[in-house]
Amino acid sequence: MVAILLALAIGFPILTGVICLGIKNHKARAGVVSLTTLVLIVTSILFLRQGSFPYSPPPTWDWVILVLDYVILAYFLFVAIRDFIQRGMSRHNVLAIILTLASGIPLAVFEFSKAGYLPLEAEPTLYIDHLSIVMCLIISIIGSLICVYAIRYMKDHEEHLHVEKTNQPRFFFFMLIFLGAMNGLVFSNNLLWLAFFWEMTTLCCYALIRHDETPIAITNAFRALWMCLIGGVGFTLAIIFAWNSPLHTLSLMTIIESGAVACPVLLLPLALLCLAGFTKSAQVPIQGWLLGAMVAPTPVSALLHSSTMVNAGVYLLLRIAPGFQGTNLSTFVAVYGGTVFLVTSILAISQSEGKRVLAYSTIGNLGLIILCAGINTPLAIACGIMLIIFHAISKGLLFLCAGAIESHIWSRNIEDMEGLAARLPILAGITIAGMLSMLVAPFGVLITKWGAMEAASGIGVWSTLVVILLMAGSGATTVFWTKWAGRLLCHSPLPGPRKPEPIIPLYHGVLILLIACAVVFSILITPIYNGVVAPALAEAGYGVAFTTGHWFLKSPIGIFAAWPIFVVVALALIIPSLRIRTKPEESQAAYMCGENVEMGADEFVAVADERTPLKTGGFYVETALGEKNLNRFVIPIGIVFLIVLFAISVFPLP
Amino acid sequence: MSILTKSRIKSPWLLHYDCGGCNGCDIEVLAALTPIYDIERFGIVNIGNPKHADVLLVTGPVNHRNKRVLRNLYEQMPEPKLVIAVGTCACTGGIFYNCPNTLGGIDKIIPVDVYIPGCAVRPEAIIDAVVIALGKLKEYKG
Amino acid sequence: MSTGWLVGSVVIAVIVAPLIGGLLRGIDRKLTAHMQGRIGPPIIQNFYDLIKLFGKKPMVAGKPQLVFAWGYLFLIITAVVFFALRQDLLVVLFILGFAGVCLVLGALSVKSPYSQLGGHRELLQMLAYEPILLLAVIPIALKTGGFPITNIFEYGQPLLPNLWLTFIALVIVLDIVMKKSPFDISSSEHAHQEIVRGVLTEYSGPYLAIIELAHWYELVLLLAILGLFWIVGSLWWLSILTPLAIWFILLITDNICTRLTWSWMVKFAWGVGISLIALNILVVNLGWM
Ligand code: SF4
Repeated sequence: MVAILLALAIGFPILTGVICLGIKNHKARAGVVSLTTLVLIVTSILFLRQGSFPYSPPPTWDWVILVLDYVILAYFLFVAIRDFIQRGMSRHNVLAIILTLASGIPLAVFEFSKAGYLPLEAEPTLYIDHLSIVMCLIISIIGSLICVYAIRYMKDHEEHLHVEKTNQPRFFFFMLIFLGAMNGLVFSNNLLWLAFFWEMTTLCCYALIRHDETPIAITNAFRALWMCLIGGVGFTLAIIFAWNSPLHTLSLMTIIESGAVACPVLLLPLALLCLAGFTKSAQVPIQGWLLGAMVAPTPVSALLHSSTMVNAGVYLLLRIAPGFQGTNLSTFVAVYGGTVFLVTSILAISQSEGKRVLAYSTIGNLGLIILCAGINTPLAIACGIMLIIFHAISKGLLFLCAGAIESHIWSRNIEDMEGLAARLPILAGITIAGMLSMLVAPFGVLITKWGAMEAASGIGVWSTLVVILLMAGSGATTVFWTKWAGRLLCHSPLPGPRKPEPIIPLYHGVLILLIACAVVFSILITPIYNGVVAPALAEAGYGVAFTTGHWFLKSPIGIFAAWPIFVVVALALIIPSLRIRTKPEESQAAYMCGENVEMGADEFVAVADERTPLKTGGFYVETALGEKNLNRFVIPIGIVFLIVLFAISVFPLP
Repeated sequence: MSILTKSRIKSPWLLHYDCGGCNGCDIEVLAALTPIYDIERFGIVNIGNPKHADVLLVTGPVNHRNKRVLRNLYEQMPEPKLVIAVGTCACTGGIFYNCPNTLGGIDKIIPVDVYIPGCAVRPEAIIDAVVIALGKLKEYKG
Repeated sequence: MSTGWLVGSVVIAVIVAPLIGGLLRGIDRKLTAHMQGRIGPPIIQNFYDLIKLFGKKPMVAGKPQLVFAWGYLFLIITAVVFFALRQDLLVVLFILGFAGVCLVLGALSVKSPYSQLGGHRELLQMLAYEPILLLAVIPIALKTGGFPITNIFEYGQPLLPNLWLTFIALVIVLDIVMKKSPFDISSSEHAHQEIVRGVLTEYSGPYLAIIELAHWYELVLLLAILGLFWIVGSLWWLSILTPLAIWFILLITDNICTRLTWSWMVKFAWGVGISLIALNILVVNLGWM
């Protein structure tokens, strides 16, 4: 039974992905994708019912993984060299070649000479616990919804770009195997398996970013490749160091259970795994690849940001957090995560491209999860896990909204979205709700932020710094979300009826489902905590984070009840928006010093009685907070952080 | 007198618009705001936005260029609202009477509740006019 | 605490808070007038203003602005209720933050140059004060062992002697939220204003009244938070007197200061406000206070 479940979660999407590769017919491909998503969703729910269990497949599979790992690395080498030949030398392809070799050669030397026997096993190979199940649910449900959405999106996308020969088979191939690889990643316990799936997600990410094959897409794909390969190198080294440690193991569980306090030699492999996690989660100073990934079709961004790729990084950190509990590494991780949260939140203020705002917000929220992993108390870890859940929902939703908006206005610029609330009320309404779900009480993201604040306030002297980073960052997030929502809302009063919004079932359906999830899950936060988060904490050896009552969460130092606030929000915003009817005779144009022309016209009368269009715009503080200005500091700070990471793991202070 | 009517009388917010007089009357309007006259005693506040205003004080004769602006400002004031023509110019056109570019008194464009003649008007007269205008609110049925 | 007592305090908070707020605004105008050598309006002037505004014909510039005006009021009342119920202080501030977002969205939802300007400036104000407001809760929690307001009541000792640094930071926040000079960036608390009243530009009549009412609640809530610093012990009356004294000081600064630029405001708030609280947290964490 469990073997079948695992096969369905990991193998099935890979299989159907390969099938997609051979299907030319749009309808048939849509059918295959829908079937896969259905199977994935059901499987993930069955996992939830099954609970945690270890599983070791027959040793042949170890061989398969071993071989495939080198196949992937060889493929990286191949594409980088091909690019080198075709497009000439560039920073990106050279670094990709170097880093592929740097992760492949030591691994080969280690495996074939030093280790002594092959294949290297760890008992158990796969271990499924509640943390992996949470991740599996996110991957399978949100990832699947994104794939369904992509069916329609890619059709629009290719029509808009006038693509002659469709590239969709390859696109869905990578989308689906991405999901399979992610499921494999979160279930793996053998570090070699984990590393394999890790590289596989890098591969999918690379291939999907370069999907459109424009020069910029190819460049950004290579940037993503080499930046993620830094993590790959970290992984290889972590494997070697773990094997050479007194524990002599490749089992992640064993390493974590031992912990760095009992066995200080483990600090270095754990730090290397942290580094891998940071690169995967696009943390400063390696945030560039995720920003560059924006060139890909929007469902790819949605997938990367919400349910796959970047989540692998924070998953790994939460996974190994018990291992570095009580060390300086833990404090470091907390301060690092907080810093990333603050700087990316401030950088997001100056961005006028919608998807870049979303990207910075993703990096910031991942930083917040990393901060939680660093604080390393039960409360913080619980918040980290819940933040992954709620962030995945909201961010997936927002990217899909951005994509749907793009298919109407063919622009990603926030300024072009001005007044969308008048033209596309449903879509804009969902988008704004999605933004609020990232920002305000009582949505899950904020509840977890609340928990993180409570947790961060009690970890000794460093807590001062962590808490300040957290709060200052929160202030900055308010600015960019509210500003963007304001741009969507900004329009003149409209006389007369407006054109109805065209309903696209695949878009609107998925979006409504996701916003419903965001609301329902926030209300049901107590059952979610009890159902998956609390068992995950217990399995990781943490104590109890919250005591729960009827619909509220209570930590030792605070209490949060989501539903009364939902009632208020319903009363305060939803009922007025449904009930208020503005009479036409009450409508009045905006105040423009009396120079306004007739209602509904965005114009005023200027010199020589000329009608002049009224233009309004958002506030981006480019000069002070722009990337140009801030990256001068941000990148060096990030590099200093990474140096400190190694300093404290090689020379652990008491 | 109902509490609402009383409140209306106690809280007239002024919007001041110069239609193009000589600025003599404008100076007097501002004089009324100084500590010597202190019109805030009566709850009167001089504000800059028609959407918040109750009383429109207009100085100067209306001309072809600004008649549209005058009407717009008037229309952007929510009911109940009052209009006071401050100074001879605003009442009849004053020294600009029959000038080709002017239309004459502001009542050519918007209904006026109280006229204050004078060139320029005295601040006391302005305060007086506001009080008289407020008397009209007693009869206001909305 | 019995249920009856709780229900009672909620009712009192919801009904009495705006009365106090309106009165304070009236006294504010009276005192300001006196400081300027004028007599000034009667102290119940703001109630006349409010009733008058409610009695005006509605005039709207789009439905979203109305929705967000209601949202602003309801959320602030909720924050007041949560405060009266002695809930988690951090949650109270989160709700207050949501209310602030509503105010900004209401302003930004109209395509109007002045309202847009006001909305964006209000955002900058929020950027300046929100981190301080949220951070201020941390030293309180460290001292009293938790975020619920109940803890402060049960703490048994006034907080001010140990947390006066935090208190000063909160005064800066109060000044920004009250929109008093030198922080009247997005619009002034006074009705007369040059940039035609920033965020409130496009609101008129009853909806302007709703926002004014919400502002009264907000004012009282923030003063009450300042009052928490003295709430226990035999000097409990100081919990009323201290906020009022602070409020009076802010009136004086309002009258002697000019408005400063937004960038100065953000730098000042983050630099001074956050440093004060950071220092306070550090000192408490090290056990020196
Ligand atoms: S009435 Fe006299 S003082 Fe007033 S604006 Fe006209 S000319 Fe000037």
